[in-house]
This record gives sequence, C-alpha cells and structure tokens, in this order.
Amino acid sequence: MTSDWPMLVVDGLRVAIARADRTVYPVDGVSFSVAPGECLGIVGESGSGKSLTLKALAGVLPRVASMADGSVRLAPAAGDEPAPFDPTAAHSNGVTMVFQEPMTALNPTMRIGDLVAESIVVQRGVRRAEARRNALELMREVGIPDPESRAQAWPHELSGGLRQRVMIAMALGGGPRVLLCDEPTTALDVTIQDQILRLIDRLRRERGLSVVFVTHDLAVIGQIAQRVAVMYAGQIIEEGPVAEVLTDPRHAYTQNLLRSIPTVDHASRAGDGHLVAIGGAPPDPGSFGFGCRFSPRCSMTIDACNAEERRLVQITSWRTTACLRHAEVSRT
Amino acid sequence: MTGAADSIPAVLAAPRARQRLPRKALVGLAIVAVYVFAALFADVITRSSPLDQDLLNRLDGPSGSHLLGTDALGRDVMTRLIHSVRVDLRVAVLATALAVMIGSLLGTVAGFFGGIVDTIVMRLADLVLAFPVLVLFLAVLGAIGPGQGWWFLGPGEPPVIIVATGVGWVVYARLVRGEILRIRQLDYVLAARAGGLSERRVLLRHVLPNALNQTIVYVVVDVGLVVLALASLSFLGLGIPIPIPEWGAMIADGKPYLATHWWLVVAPGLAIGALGIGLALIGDSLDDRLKGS
Repeated sequence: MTSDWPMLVVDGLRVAIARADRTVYPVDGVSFSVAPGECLGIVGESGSGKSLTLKALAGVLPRVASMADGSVRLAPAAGDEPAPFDPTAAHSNGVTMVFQEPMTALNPTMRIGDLVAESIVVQRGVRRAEARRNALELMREVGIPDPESRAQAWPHELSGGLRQRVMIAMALGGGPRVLLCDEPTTALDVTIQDQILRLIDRLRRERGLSVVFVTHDLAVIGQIAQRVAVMYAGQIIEEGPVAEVLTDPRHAYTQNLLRSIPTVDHASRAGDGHLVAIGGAPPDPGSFGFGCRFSPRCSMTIDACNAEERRLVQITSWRTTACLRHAEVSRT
Repeated sequence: MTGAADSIPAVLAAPRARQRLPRKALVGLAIVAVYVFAALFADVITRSSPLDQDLLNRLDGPSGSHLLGTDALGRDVMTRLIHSVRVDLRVAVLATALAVMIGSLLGTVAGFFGGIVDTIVMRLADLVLAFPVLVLFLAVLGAIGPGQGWWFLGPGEPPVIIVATGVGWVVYARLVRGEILRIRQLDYVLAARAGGLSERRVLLRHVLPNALNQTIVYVVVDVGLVVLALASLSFLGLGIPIPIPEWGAMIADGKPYLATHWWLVVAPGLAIGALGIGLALIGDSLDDRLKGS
C-alpha cells in the first residue's frame, strides 16, 4: 500500500493573519507528510489552527489570511517523488476538500446533479452530458440511493448524511489523490457519522487516496486514521501511529486531552475515575508565548519547558513529540 | 455558461415535488392579478373615457350606471380608478426594476471587489440616504418639468421614475452587498473555489443567485411603496398632472367632498391599500418559502 515517497509533504507551513496592530500566525510552522493510501488525523481544540492548515492546503484561506511561509509538495502520481505545488491551484493538482457543515456546504440554488456534474466539468474538462453520466456513477459510488432522482433534488430536500455524501462525490469529481476532510462528521448524529467514516475509509482503500482528516474528536481519529498529529496553538506537538498515541501519549497536552474524554468506563481515565477538564483556555494567536505553548495550562511545567522554543523530537523511529518531559507523561 | 434555468434563484425555480401554495400567497396573487387584469384591459372593461365629463350628473352616488358614482366634474369614478392602475403600476414596476438592477449591480461590485470601489459605492449610498427625497424630487421636477411623457410613459411619469430609481437603488445595493459579504465566506463558496471554479463562475452561479434571494422579497413590497410615493406626490399636485387619473390625485379631488361623498376618497384609498396588502402577502410568502428552504 505505501511506497517510498509520500504523497503529500507539508514543510514549515505558516499562515499569517494581519491584525490592526501586527501580524499573527495561527498556523505556526506545521510539517507533516502523508503516504499514498494513508489517513493522517489532525486533532486539536477549536482555534488550534487545524482547520486553517487544511484551508491553506486547499487554497481557500479567508481573505484576511495568507500563506506566509513553508512549502507544500505533492507527488504527481502515487509512488513518484513529490514536486512543489501551488495550493491556489489545488484542484487541478488533485487535492480536494470536504467541508464540515453539510447544511452550508451545498449551494441551495443548484440541483444535486448539477453540483456534482459541475465539479466534473471544471476539473476534468469533459462535456456536460458526459459529466452528468459520471456524476450519477460518483453518486452511486458514495452510496447515494436512487441517484437518478436524487440528481433532480435540491440540497434542502436531502438529509445531513446524504448531503455529506454529495459533498464527497463533488470532491471526487476530478479524481483527486489527496482528500482534505474538515470535520466532515461533526454535524452528523453518531450512526450517520459512522456511515460517513466507513465511506471515506472505503474510498481511501479503493482509490488509494491520501486523506488528511481534521477533527476535535479523538474517537473519530481512532476509527479512521492510521497516524495522528496533535495540534496545539498553531503547531503539531505530537505525532505517531494512532493506536500508540491514544493509548500511550508522549505529550502532556495529549495526555490531558485523553483524560477529558467521557467514556462508559470512567475508571480507565484519570486515576480517581473522574473526568478531568483542562484548566484555562487555548492561547490566542496574538499571545503565543516563548517555549512550550501549553506550559501555562500544564501541571508538569518546569523552568526548562520555557527555556527555548520546543521542537518536535524523535523519540522512537515512528514517533515525535515536542514535550520536554515526554518520558514522565503517562496515562495514570 | 449554462442555461438560464441553472442560475434562477430557488424561490423562482419549480421544486421537485410542488407544494401547495399557502393561502396568503393565493390571496396576494389573486389581488395583484385583479390589478394586472385591470391595467391590461382598462379600455375593454370600462365603457367611457376616464376624462369624459358629465356636468349634469356631478357627484352622483353609486348606481347601476356608475358603480362608484361620479366625481365633482361628473367623471365616472370606477373608470378613473381602473385607468389609474396603468399609470401607477407602470411607474412602480419600472422604477423598482431600474432600482433593483442598478442597486444589485453596484452592491455586487462593492461586495465582491471591496476596497476603494466598495468605499465609493457605499459613501454614495449614504449621501443619497442623507438627502431629503422631496427636495430632490422638487429639484428634478424644476429642472425637467413634468413633461409630455416620453416613449410609452405618460406626462409627469419620468421625473417620478428618475427620483424613485435614484433613491431606491440604495436599499438594493446595501442588501446585495451585505449578502455577498456573508455568502462569499460560506462553505459552499469555498468548496466551489476549492473545486477550481473561476471567480466569475463562483460569483455568477454560487454567490449571486443566493444574494439576490432576499432582494426578490423586498422587490415585491417595494412596488407597493413606490405606488404610495407616487400617490402622495400626485396628492400634493406634484406627480401626475391633472386630468390624468391617478389614485393620489383622485383623493385630492375628492377631499373637499369628504363629509358628504366619502367614496370619492375612500375608493382610491382602498385601491392603494389593497394593492399594498396583495404585494405584501406575496412578499411574505416568498420570505417564508426562503426561510423554509
């Protein structure tokens, strides 16, 4: 499944937002790579910069934001060496995005079939009649029942789950190599969420898609991703295989995040069996401190944590963390 | 580009399973249909000219030959009422249409391009809003006079249309600009851009049809407002010159006889009111429909 060359390589990505007094960097030096047919989960709180990272890659940053630094490279085909890539032309290079809100992510004034067909016309440059046929095939592939009649429907006539399938069909229109998913299941109820996750997983396997899946939900990450990167205050602070990171975190923040998840089996969380909230709030991009950005909220902070900028360090051949005290972090 | 049907806003396009129209929409459409019918067939459904005087039968009460009686010059009130529809609807529809076109265009340009263009358009809008409408109308009237009409327009109509358009576009410019600013950062616009659509296509097919939705609701109500403005001006003797039938002028004509011949004032007043209600009902059901979808 995986080859030597990764599909997508992001190196030192920074996103700048110009504020009245100065420029802030809500995404501040993010680097990761995704192999062909692999799903990388990016998890973090609201405001950690995970969504902006995706939007930068898809070339749809809001007007106030811009890509300030860093490079993005994409393999021309699975197994080839990644070449520099311009996110503002992401679509023509095989990178597409699925958005969070199925309610707002479909144009309410266009029929479903036209929406899917439009993405095919634009991305593949085929004729309209052929695009319509392809649209029906795509709709069938993403599990939309009775695509012929659904193609005539307006977005508001479909359920949330079906709309999300339509969005995925639109994203597949150009035959992408990389699928960027911005919390595509957050707005759905759990059974539908499960169906959509299975769909994305099936598409990844069948089409050899590289998937970058952003969410704040660790359970979703556990279900869909092979590797996970934890983001905090605009940076990736820990990365590794999902099974390992979720059971054996090596960053104080990840540990706290895991302790704050409610489960049926409370005893498996913090020692006394209670949910533990992470005190304080994530910092504003305007007030990122020097050193470890999680240190003001961390119970394990020592002076050395803020003595220098924290960088990701290799702790095993497949895991990295930015936590100085990673050896002492445990699940207890 | 694709066919026009693809860019028609949802409110106008036929739904897949057509729902029954709500009662208020039906009532509104019925009322407005009566007016449109009267405007189209005014010559057929009335027996005499609205200008024919019958000085021997002045101020007659309602009767079989004069359904709403006659006015102070013996003219048939019903006939004048029906012929008024032509003048009022023509002015209102035309002024509103021009205001929508100019306002939407300027609002779109301002919202989509932003920057200096946005500033110029919006300051111009502020300027127009800050200027007293009546003074502006008097200035235009003083400059070009009521005139003898132009093309298919009757006497007195061009200055009203010019001022109503000159003031009316502001609402649409603001409305459309606001909607465009809101819509351009919605997910489906981002998705369209991420999908590689050109800026022009994004604007025409994804932003504009949705931005214009709210406008359509307002347009319908606005027609009624222009009718009211025209009637007010004519009532003051500034709008449509006498003896051309116009509701506001008819109310002014009937005012001296209010105590004894109240229908001379009430009939044109009801004509304005009912048209306004009909349009408001249509606008309201369009609004419901938009919010529902």
